[in-house]
Amino acid sequence: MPLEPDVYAAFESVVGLENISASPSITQIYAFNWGTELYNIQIGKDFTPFATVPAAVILPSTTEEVQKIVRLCNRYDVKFKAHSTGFGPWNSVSVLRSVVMDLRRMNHIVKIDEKNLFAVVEPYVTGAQLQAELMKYGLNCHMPGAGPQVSPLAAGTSMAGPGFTSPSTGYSGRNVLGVEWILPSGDIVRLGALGLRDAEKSDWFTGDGPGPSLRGIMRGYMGALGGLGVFTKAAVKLYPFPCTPSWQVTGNSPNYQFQVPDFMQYHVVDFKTYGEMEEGMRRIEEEEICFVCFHTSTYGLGAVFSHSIGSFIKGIPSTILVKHPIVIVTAARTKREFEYKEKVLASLLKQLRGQDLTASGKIVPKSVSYAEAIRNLLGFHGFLIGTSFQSTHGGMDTMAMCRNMIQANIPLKKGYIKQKVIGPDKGEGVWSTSYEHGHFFHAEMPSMYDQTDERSVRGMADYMQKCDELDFEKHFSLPFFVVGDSAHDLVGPLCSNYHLWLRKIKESLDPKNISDPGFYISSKAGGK
Amino acid sequence: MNTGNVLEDYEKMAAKCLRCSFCKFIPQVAIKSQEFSTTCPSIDRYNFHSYSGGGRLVMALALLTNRLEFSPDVLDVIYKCTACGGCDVACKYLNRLEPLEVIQAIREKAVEVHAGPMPAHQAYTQRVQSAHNPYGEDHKRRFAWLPDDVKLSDNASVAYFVGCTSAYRRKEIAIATARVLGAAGVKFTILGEEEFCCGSPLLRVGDRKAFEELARHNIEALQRRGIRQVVMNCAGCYSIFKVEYPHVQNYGFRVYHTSQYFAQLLRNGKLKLATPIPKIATYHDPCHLGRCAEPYKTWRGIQFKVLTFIQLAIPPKPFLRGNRGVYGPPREVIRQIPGLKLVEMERNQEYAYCCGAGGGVKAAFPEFALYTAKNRLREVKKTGAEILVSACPFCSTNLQDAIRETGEPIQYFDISELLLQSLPKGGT
Amino acid sequence: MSPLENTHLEKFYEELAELLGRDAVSNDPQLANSYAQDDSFTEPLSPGLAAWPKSTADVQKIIKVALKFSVPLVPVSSGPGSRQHGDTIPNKTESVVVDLSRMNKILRIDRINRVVMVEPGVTFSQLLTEMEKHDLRLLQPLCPRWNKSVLTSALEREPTLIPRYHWDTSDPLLCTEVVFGTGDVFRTGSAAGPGTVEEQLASGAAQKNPMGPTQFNLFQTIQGAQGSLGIVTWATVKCELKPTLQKIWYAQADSLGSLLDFAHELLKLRIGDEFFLMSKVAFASLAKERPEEVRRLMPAVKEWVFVVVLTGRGEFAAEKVGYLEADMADIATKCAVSLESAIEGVDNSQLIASFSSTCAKPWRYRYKGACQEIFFVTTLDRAPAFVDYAKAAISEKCGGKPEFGVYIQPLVQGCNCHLEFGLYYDPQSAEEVTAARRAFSLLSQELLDKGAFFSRPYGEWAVGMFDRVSPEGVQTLQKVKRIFDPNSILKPGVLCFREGSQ
Repeated sequence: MPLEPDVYAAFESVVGLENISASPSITQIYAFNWGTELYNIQIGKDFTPFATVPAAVILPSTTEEVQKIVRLCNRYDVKFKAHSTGFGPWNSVSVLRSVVMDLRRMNHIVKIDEKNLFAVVEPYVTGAQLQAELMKYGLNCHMPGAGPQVSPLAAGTSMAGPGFTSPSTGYSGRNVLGVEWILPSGDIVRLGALGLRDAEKSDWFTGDGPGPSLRGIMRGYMGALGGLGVFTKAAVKLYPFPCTPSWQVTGNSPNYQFQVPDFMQYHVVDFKTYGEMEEGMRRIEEEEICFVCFHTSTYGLGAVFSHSIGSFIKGIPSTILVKHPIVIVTAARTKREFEYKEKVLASLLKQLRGQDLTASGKIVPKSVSYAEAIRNLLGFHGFLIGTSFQSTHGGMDTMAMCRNMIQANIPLKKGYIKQKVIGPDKGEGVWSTSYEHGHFFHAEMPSMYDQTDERSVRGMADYMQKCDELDFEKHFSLPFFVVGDSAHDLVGPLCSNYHLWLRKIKESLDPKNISDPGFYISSKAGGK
Repeated sequence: MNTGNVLEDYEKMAAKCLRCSFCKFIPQVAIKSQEFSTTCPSIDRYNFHSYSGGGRLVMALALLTNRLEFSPDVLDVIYKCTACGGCDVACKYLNRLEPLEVIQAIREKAVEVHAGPMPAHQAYTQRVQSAHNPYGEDHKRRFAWLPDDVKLSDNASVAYFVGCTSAYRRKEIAIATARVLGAAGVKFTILGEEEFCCGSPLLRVGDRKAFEELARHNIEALQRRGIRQVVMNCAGCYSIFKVEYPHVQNYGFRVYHTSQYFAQLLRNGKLKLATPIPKIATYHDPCHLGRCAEPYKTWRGIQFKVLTFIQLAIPPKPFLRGNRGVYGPPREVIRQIPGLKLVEMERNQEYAYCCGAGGGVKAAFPEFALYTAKNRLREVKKTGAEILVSACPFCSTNLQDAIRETGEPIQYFDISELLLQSLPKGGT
Repeated sequence: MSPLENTHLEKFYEELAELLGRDAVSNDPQLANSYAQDDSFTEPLSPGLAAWPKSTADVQKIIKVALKFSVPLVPVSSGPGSRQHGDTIPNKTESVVVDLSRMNKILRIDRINRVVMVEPGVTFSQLLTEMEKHDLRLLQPLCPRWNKSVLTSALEREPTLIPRYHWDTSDPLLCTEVVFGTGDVFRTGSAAGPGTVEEQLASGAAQKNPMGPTQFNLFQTIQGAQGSLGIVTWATVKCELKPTLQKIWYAQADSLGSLLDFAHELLKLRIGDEFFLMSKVAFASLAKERPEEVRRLMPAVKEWVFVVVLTGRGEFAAEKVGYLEADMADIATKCAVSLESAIEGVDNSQLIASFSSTCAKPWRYRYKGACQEIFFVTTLDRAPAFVDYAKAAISEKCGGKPEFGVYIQPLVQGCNCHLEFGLYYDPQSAEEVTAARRAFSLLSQELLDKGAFFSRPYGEWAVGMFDRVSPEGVQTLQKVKRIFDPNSILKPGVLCFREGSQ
């Protein structure tokens, strides 16, 4: 549905000729996203990797431009979806007469406050870029498991938040301080101390208050995925660089050699039973010694340390007998700190009967795996074998609950593996990490499927639905992807009727659904 | 790269693009700063996702599923790309896709259906066909640059394939190359009027048919003379000869880039460097000498799936990641120049940032070519280097255009020029 | 009992008494009077009634009846003597105090998952006594009064002592059960569902994840709302494991600024558990119980004291403390700070013990008998400037009285800090009371003008703060209020929810 010429001209007058396009050479491409074919099946649409095509794509470069665009959207009743690095089906618009705002030109690191441990970033600063700059100060940032090429602002304000370094760097949504937020109305709300009217006195150091925190409206464990306006700047908390801040990479792809900093060590630890693994995760994390600490399956283990299908296949013999691995990275700034951590871990593993496969030389990650641990690239190995994957479950609470969820999932998953619609991993495919040194844990069960094979996609969609039903039946915490009206209307009654309140928030802040509600919730007034 | 595939063969692969955006950046583990973290000049300049490697993969899918047709806007996206392979290297770090193959296949399809290439490309194609060079210069004057005192050897088994850009635009490189070869006592010949354009400018914009005619001509010209070794100073010619020519017609000669040949001459003591050049230099890896210079054999074998989805091939299919390009020899040569200190740019080797000229961009979109070269110059400047060295006349032209436009106090030299300067008495 | 003058309230009383039982509601003016004032300078005002729910269902009933009769409610959880900011004093005459102190069950202490679940009436004293039996420690503020509500403390974002355990502003608050101003019950975080709390426990969960459900974090919005969005009927609160070895270290200086680089570096590297800075008088008040002891200690202490406790646990406790000490010593050398393991006259073990216990009377009162705190959130590096503003304001505009102390509590792993000025005065001296009252208002305004961010804006701070933040933020908060308390029966007039503003 093309925009009327005067409407298009109005948008163009904001960003300039070069920064808006309604050409299909642009708009069709923005309709394609990872996982869209799966999402289309889930919402009863046809099997295609393309979603609704936006009427135009706009590239703003400043907060002021974004505000103008949003106001124009309100004036002309054009819906919008803003994204930055954009990795997932939630980039797409859900209705015709929508525009995509690609925030790519807003890519500045506005400020690094070294003393007060936060950085202010625009939407298209990536995790790797931010980390590379922060290293110069001996600092680090949290990155989500999606990888270092995605935006910490997007992860913190709008998406989920688990990452491989979560034991020591937390969850994206809990790493956000001040935020500059353009509401669907076009009003700008600056959260926390940023909201002081005197710009000289406002600052980014807290996003909460005065009084009630609007961060609680901005997002939950999942963000609004573009359904509640646009976030144009955010302050993210910083962490100490886990060891000596140096980054020396030599060699050629994919066999890069990384000069592993002093005092950093992988430990791939195996446990014989799920119960022992659960206790292992919890007890190890209680000691606060890990930079990285996650449980995965044997196939996951193989993938995480491989850089080609060949090396993955070659590695199977050394991983096939592993039962319930936990991958740990200890890291320290000083020798004495490192020695302490290593000693504690060794002692604990002895008590817990965990077998350190790295210490025994059985699984010894290459140097580049150390770089990938720091740079949060480990999760991307899930794509190594050349298909897609998507995660099911995702519930977040205790390790006990995660373990129960992992085990409950196995027979369900095996049924779909038997149908050959998802990849065979004995049903055990999992990524489970701790947060904030074991204060809570999540588990997601990644499953491989062939995104070009309709049967596989339909099978995966069906499996995902059954996983959700399992979560509801067993009272595990909610899965990740409860987004969109149908999901909320289904799940809400099971969970304090939260959907009614979420909808009221949307009605209050965006009664006309100007900010695309497809992956959030729509207001009654705007309809579905 | 000729895999024997056509665009239709890539439909499934294109649908597997994750839109992860790896293709916009150098390999994630290699990133050392925000400023020099990107790899794709096209999306750096044009910002819409279509202008990335992943965007073009999806464009291929959209063309194949009739969501798009070859409109001027589509051609704009397809051809505002130097086909540098930066996206390809980055994607393949952990993905299993072939962005560069798909970009090439889209271009060939555009030409096949007479939608492409761009008018500027069509113009130079016609010039190649009539004058055997894309500049439309007099073919008879292809070797007018040759100094009188350079001795050629009629029966030599070594041929210096000069290439159009060195012959007509960067004569200083041709002269330096000839003199260095002479100083090393290499008996070499040239093809004279039998040397036609290598065909790279045509292939890169999708005109495979016209390219193949040139390939056959040049191969036959060399074979007829019994040439055993062909030396060339142009990365574009090198890549075309090394990677593409074997898939047009077999040949019996060995192909060298001058950096490799010079490195060998230095190792064998045939070249002695005496005159110091006390400067700081940095080296720009030409795409076609680096990541796009990996030869491969056409794969023939069987494919099957294991573990439901994992596609395996016996023998294994070549999966080119840019790691077998010519990276060592130029550096080996530079490091032997007395007094010269080599400092690397952050983006180097298989993830070096493109100079901006290739893929038909210099001809069709000169402003974009210059934009990219200026980006590269910022990186040069960051190293503190006084001299920028490279090994391709096309990079030379574009980077020097940028130096001139920006007024940066950086001198550009081809590797042959530096060697010449460093020879005893400057090679005179 | 004197007859109620207000028929409205009378009907409310009758209906509620019918629902909850007569022992759960009171219209006794004397009893009501006990809620009329607290230790702050807020103008006293008696509520009309007081009610004591015993369960979530009781709270719902109270709210529903309040809706029926449009009666404003004021939730109160802490006991008398521990309310200090005026937030539990009604601002309307026909208000009803909802005293949650009878909802005082410790629902769960869970060592494995490092969490406790408490009702609002559970006090610090009560909980800490119980926790002695477990291997856990509470993330608590500095020496809370014994009858302070644990839940309220977390709800009000009171600063806790250990910055490295303060991952987000909301810590240590996790999940909650809340009754909104509509009378609807809601559970936040993973407690929302699926399933009842018991069913979730059976699945292995423990209401640890505060986020959600799904795409909002209502717990963060209820927090800091001073009871104006909902009444929380239970909450889970994060705990940590008890250390087996604790060593306290001090650094003293004449200027605050000279300690800050050191503090910043330790915060960055997450070195130290209990971690704060104080001015001399504040520190002396903390370290000593009696006023004369406080005065006696002061000369032995420099103008500024930085306190940090290093801890270890279990088999390698000593090693842990050892490496932390060595690392910290290196940093101290780099920052030209001298570390001391003791201050003359200060009992280290007593001080350390106070960090995980309560006090009979607020520690800030020890010096002179009373204290008014002015506090806000800022960054550590701005603290010296604010201290200078305060000094100048007291000196130039208040004749140098009253004396004040400073307590700086780093928060959110060093991203910001709670900066508190305690104005000390003798409550028996009318002159000192007047001076303190005057200084409180004046200094509050001064600090507001200088850009202090009162993230917990009680009383008069609310007017000043909300006038200084952008109207869009205020309007959004008002929209939120209209969702969760559309009839404005919960603490109407508090924060930016003034009459006519919605």
